[in-house]
Order: sequence, then C-alpha cells, then structure tokens
Amino acid sequence: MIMKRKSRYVLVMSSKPIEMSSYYHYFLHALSEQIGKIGLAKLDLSLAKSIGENLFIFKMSRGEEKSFILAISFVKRLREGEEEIGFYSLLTSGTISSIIRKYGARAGKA
Amino acid sequence: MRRAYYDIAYFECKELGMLLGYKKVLAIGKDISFNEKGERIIISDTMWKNFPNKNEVVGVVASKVDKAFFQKLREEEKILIIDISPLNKDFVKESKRLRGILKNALHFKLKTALATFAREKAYLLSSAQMLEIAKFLGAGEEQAKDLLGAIGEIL
Repeated sequence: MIMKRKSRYVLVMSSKPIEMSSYYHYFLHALSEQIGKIGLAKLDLSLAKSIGENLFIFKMSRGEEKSFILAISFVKRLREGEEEIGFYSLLTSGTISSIIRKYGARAGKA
Repeated sequence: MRRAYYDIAYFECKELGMLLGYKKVLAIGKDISFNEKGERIIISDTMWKNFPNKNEVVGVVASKVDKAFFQKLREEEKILIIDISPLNKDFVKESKRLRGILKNALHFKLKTALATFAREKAYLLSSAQMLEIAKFLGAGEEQAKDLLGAIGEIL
C-alpha cells in the first residue's frame, strides 16, 4: 500500500508584484537550477493559493520545506532579461488557514 | 521566548524587516557605518590594519580564514560578521569559503553574525531563510539562532 504523503504549506512573499500563475513555469525552472530535477520532484510542489500580487502559498511534501526555503533564497530572476526579483519565505504551517492566521498576526505587528 | 533577529542592509526597511521576522534591519549609513567613521562602525577585515580608530569598531566583516586575526578579534571582543551576499554570485565556491570562516569563528568562540548586506529588496532574506543558510553553512540549530541575534549586541 502506498502511504499518503503529508504536506506542508509555505507562505512566500515576492519583492515585487508578480502574477505567479503565469510565471509558475519559470519559477519551477529557476528552482530546479538550485535543487535539481530530483530535488524538485521530491518537493512535489504546487501553488496552493495566491493572495494579492506578492503573497503565495506553496504546498509541498512534508520534510522538504527546508530545502525549498533555502533554494528560493537564491532565485533572483525568473526570465532572462527581466528585472531581478527576490522571494522571502515568511511562514510554514500544516494548513492554509493557520498560515493565513499567523500572517495576519505578524502583519498586524509590522 | 522568541529570539530577536537582526540583519544589515544598505537601505532602510523597517516594516518589511518586521514582516521578514527581524526585530531590526540595520541600515548602513544610518544605524551603522561601514568602513568609515560613525557611531557604530563595522569594517571589512582588509581595512583592519590601517583603520585609525579600532576602539570604535564594533564588528569586522571577514573575507577569509585568518586564525591569528580571529584570535585578536576575540581578545578585543569584536563581532565577526559573515556577509552572505557572495552566495548569489558563485554558490558552490562561496559556500565553501563561508563555511570555512564560520567553522573557524565558532572554533575560536567568536561572537559571530550573519548578514545579507542587501543593496536592494530582491536581495533581502527572511529570518527563516537566514536560519536555513546558517545551518547549511554548518551551524547547529541553536548556533544558527545565535548567528541571527548577535548583531543585537552592538545596539
């Protein structure tokens, strides 16, 4: 029997607005340059939700979030010739609702 | 209790810094001086020899492993700062160099800090990312937290 994989959600903010659904392919490509195809496959990444133009919740395999957080630190360009962009991992959680709640609390303080 | 984390950048970013999980992101030219006179001075290790007011220096940015120099920094109670921005240029080569600096700094029990020295927003990183980078460079879980909190001691 195949075990169901547990997931983690990571809230990521971009340094400038971006339509992630259109750029997702480029984002994956940039990520694979950091962690390789095998790393990307292990990550089992998907875009779970976009909040506005610069907040994104990514779903991934539990246990792989640390390599994702490290890898996005060094993604600075999604497409050749375009402006540089940075990605910040803000929060990690097991559910989307909890990540949104935690972010609300942090944004309130800032 | 949650620890306070700090970073150093070339611009002010109070609210963004807090969103990224920092208590404060020190702005060069405002909160600290880099390689020049000011209230809180940090200098690069290459400037150390000829810098006139060493007593006013609170931290030194290390570019290489120099055991004798690290010993001196420990005696003079200066903070050793590791600039992680070169990782964006040549990750493999630079991570090896920075790992060597961190390993020796921890061996000499130096107060050590990690900082992005970001020149623009795209090069800032969240505290969660910095913790992962610290661990990637060889720090343990608690050491990584200490590396992000060390800059607070110069405030």
